[in-house]
Amino acid sequence: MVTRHVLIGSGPASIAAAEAIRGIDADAEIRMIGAERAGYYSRPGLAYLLAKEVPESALFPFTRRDFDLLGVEQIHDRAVLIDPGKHAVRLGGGEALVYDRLLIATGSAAIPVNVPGAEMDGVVKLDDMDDARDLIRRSRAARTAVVVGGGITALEIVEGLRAHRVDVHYFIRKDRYWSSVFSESESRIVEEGLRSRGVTVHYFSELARILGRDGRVESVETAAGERIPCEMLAVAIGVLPRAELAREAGLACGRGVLVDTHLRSSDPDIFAAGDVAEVSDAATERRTIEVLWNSAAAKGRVAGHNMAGGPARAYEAGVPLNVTRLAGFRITVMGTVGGGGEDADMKGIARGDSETWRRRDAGTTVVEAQQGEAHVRLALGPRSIEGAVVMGDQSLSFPLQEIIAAHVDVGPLADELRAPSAHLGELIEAFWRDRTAHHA
Amino acid sequence: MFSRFAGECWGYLNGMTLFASDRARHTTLATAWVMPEPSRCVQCGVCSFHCPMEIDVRRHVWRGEPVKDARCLTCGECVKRCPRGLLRFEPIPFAAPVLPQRRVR
Ligand SMILES: Cc1cc2nc3c(=O)[nH]c(=O)nc-3n(C[C@H](O)[C@H](O)[C@H](O)COP(=O)(O)OP(=O)(O)OC[C@H]3O[C@@H](n4cnc5c(N)ncnc54)[C@H](O)[C@@H]3O)c2cc1C
Ligand code: SF4
Ligand code: SF4
Repeated sequence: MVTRHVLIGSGPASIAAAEAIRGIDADAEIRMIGAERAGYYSRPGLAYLLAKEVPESALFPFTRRDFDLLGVEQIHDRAVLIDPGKHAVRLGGGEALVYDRLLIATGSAAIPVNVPGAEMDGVVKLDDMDDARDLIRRSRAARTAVVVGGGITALEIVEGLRAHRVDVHYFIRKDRYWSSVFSESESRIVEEGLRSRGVTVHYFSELARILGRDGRVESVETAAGERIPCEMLAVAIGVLPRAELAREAGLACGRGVLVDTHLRSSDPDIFAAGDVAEVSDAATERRTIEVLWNSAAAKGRVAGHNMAGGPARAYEAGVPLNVTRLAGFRITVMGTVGGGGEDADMKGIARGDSETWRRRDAGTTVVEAQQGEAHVRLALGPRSIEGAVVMGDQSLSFPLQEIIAAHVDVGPLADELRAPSAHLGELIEAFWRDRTAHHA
Repeated sequence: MFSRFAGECWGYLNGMTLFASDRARHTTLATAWVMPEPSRCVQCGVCSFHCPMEIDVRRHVWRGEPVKDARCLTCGECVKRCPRGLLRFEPIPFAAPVLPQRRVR
């Protein structure tokens, strides 16, 4: 009998799941429901579209032919109800799809601001292709924009607005940018970079209300009473998993859809992967949400494998990693690096973010230094490197990625790195050269 | 603005003239291919967009493979353009087959 797989969502988690299912089961029926007209595209690539680095057409990794070759039927509609009893998903158009195995990979959605005037025309976000098109269209006409929020998305919007020559005011609620992940010097590097790109950075600025006429934004007012005229207010205060469908279907949910490490939900025939999945690890008792492209694909791969009945496979979170460009600096964040601060600019979790970064295990010490063209910060365990942030030149980030991911016992290196005025870059390079020479 | 065949791509490469880069290219061609670090890729397509040979670099990265495509000029355009810096030239392991591949788009 042919197994019927239904995948809700058309992001990397669903795509990777479809590939994994097809890899195991040549005959399976695979149907992918996607609410977005654009279908499958690179969501992080929207930042490069805004910055005018690529045309929209470059953002699509798959063609229709690729879907045909994979044997995936794409259904452009919204899933509105899951009925676990009947093993069916109802679509907005009324049709019901029956499944043997279901994947929920609905991603995450931006949290709206909750201030008076938030419903006005000119309040924008960056979740999907339509938002990106809207932002570009408005940027062509707008002179001034205010951006509130934190993490990567806020600054990607700032960058995109600057690429369209819009004057940008960026509000930081407390004293520095992204304090839950970055150290103070890292925050300052980024803020300085923003200023050098013509952005006005406002500290201790809390958005109090949005003012306008005829339902259109004309200015914003801070809690301190400062008023800034603008045609646009961009909001990036975090995202929340789109777990409503699962919740209404009675599946166990936390902030996201709760799944075990096999990515199975509380219903044995329903799986979840990507931003929407909250993985509960029985061994560590930790529940983790990751809003990362590669984690989404990795989860999708495991979920698809298990849905198709492959020998049970567990998702291993590995070391979350992201590379971004903020205010012109290339930045890699990996492992547990906790910036020490509480992030007042974010409500939920940020896009391109992992909760793991904010942790810092007791017993780790932090060293940081400017090393030539790079600013490096390391979270050091007694004999390990637990996390790192590399800003600027990225050469060091490659050995660090391997050392952190493989939990390499770095032995005395950890102490050498802790020594005052240690040259972090040279020490790590020497260590890595030795190690690769021995392992070659 | 988005022309894939921007002059710099053919005429100049890291300040080298076409002639000089041509020579450099032949040595690289024999010994190196473009190798990705897939965990850093977000499938944005900047690499494929800028490849003068229309090789779908992004697809190779998704599969975690080096760019084993006989048409690769090792011009370095994809390596230079990737906003996340995850592409590098690496020596081709001895006797690895370099297959001509059709562009899948
Ligand atoms: C601007 C931006 C920048 C980013 N930068 C980075 C970065 O630098 N690095 C990084 O690792 N990650 C980044 N991300 C995050 C990354 O894109 C996501 O983690 C990833 O796309 C999640 O994949 P997914 O498959 O879980 O869901 P998504 O890619 O979110 O796809 C889910 C899809 O499901 C659809 N859907 C939702 N509900 C329904 C329904 N009921 N019926 C049908 N369809 C539905 C949605 O419309 C959406 O198209 C960024 C995201 C954005 C928006
Ligand atoms: S440019 Fe870089 S991040 Fe974008 S698809 Fe190519 S390899 Fe991946
Ligand atoms: S090195 Fe040049 S020819 Fe080769 S894949 Fe990259 S861009 Fe294309």
